[in-house]
Amino acid sequence: MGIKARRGYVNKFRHSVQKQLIGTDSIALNLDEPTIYSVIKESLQSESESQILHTLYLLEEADVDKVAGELRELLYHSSRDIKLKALQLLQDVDTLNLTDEIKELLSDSDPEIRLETIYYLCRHSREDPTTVIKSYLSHDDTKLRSAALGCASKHGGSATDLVEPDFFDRLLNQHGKDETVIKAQIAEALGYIEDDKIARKYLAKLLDDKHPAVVKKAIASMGRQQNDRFIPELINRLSDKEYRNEIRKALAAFGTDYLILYKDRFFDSSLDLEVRKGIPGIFAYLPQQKTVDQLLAMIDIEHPDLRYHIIKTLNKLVLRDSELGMSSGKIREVIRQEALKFFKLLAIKDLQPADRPNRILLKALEEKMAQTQERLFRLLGLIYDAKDMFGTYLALQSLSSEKRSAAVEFLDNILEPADRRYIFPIADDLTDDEKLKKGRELFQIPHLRYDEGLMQLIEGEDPWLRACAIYSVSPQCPASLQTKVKQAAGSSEHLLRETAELVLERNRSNSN
Amino acid sequence: MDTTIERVIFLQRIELFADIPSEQLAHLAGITRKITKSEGEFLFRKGDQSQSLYLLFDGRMELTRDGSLKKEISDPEAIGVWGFFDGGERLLSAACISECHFLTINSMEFYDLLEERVHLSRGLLKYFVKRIRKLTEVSDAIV
Repeated sequence: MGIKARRGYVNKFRHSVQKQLIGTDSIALNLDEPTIYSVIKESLQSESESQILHTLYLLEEADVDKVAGELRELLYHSSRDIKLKALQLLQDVDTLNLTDEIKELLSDSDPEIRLETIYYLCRHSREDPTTVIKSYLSHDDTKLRSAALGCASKHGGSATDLVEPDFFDRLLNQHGKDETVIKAQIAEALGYIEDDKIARKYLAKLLDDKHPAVVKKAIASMGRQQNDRFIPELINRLSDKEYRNEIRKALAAFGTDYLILYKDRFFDSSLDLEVRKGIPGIFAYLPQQKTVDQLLAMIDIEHPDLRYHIIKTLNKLVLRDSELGMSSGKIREVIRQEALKFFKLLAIKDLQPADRPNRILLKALEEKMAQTQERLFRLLGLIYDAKDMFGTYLALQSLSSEKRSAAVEFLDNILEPADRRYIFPIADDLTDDEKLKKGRELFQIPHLRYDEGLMQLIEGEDPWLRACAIYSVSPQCPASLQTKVKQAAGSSEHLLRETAELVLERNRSNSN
Repeated sequence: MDTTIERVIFLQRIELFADIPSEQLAHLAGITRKITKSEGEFLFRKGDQSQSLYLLFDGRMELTRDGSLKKEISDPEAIGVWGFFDGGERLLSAACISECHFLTINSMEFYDLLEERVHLSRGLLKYFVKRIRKLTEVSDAIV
């Protein structure tokens, strides 16, 4: 029975390794245990790259001397990640000295592998590590000089003590085919450098480099440096979609203490809208209760696009960790606000004559209502099962009336009465008139005239609705609306200005 | 056809863009350029490399292959859709049979925009799924 149980354990362990089910941060493997050793050895020889890589990560906390032979073979693997990880694990192996053969990796095309190779040579050569690193810092090959700098910074601390004052300028002024690689390596090394002045000087320079790979490394290094002087510059660059994710990661690396600062910037209406939209994404990298609490404090923002980004980030966090607590009272208040928004849009839509030229405003209103509905279901996903809510939302968009009815029935069964009250009139298969009637009962929405509806949109926050509403102002509209169009013709917003100019011209020629 | 809103109104009439929200079309309108071709002028010839999509907003054209007429088209119409997406060679020649006015979209700018705008991609996916469904229905009917 003991043997059977043991076989069962081995199979289970093998299965877990093969399927990569074991968390890499939760285990310290004991390779002296024969069964573990044999499964790990087998796994390192697997055909599957992801399995090998997973196993290498499992070995991070283990004494890897016993599998040094397997790791040595992986130094010649075609996968860069496997090669790098094997090399990093071999750094701690003293029973096998590979200094001669590992020198081949100095000509590897990957900068991080070159860096780790120099580190290996520093640790395992007979010479003093400082002598070794200095020899590479003054090497003829600029790629090795930059790798040595990266190595000294990452593993040694104050690399700046080892180099001449003009070391960086000389390397950064290199031109040629390796220019990008060298700059990227310097950008990475600057993330580890202790000399704050040097880090700031050169990272600021590299942030404007023409090569995206260099800029990305510079951004990551700013995050690693955690010098809050970098924060304003990083935030301002959030509007640059090419680097937005790197910037978010870098800003997240400053930790949760900075969330309040990011929140303040989010509410700062003098900031570019694209920058503000990019801020909630920083929070997604910090899946903690503190983050959720800050996001909930930001959800009150009126601007629908900005609110959408907050809700989306909360959705991401909840999917990652369902234990994160949501304040259902707060979420329900936002659900109420969104439902009100939906019915206000519907009330204005109801005023639109179907024969208006090109129906652009009608379409824009329908789209905005659809977006409100999406936000509502995303909000429901924060207080009910997120997958259920997503499935229901998709079913409600379906062309099949059966699917829609089933979705409504499902909602009827699971929503609490307080939520059903707001969601049902929106989700149910009703005509617009029936929906609006229910909306008016719920929120006491007043009956507006056509021009009042247009005025509300023109004075609203949504630039696209404002433009479409301006476009819908005809010569027959009241003077108050004509004045609004004239004012918009002097707007600093290009879309509004050109639409207003078009309308003024069109209405002038229509009246003549 | 000089303002964003006019271009959006036109783009909505193109089947390819029918499922894209108007606000997203405003971003697409931002990368369109207006061009005019005279009667008899070729927009592209069979074998040319595809780099742009042409949206005919005024005029009439004919599509030919090796000299024989395949189709006559009038506004509003998107021309060169498949080549625009697969980057391959033009399979047909397109010539103007009247003065023609187009909005053009450069493929590189278009893909840059797609990267940033998920709702644009969603709308396009809907269009292609509809086309595939239609083709499947036709092939099922033939079988």
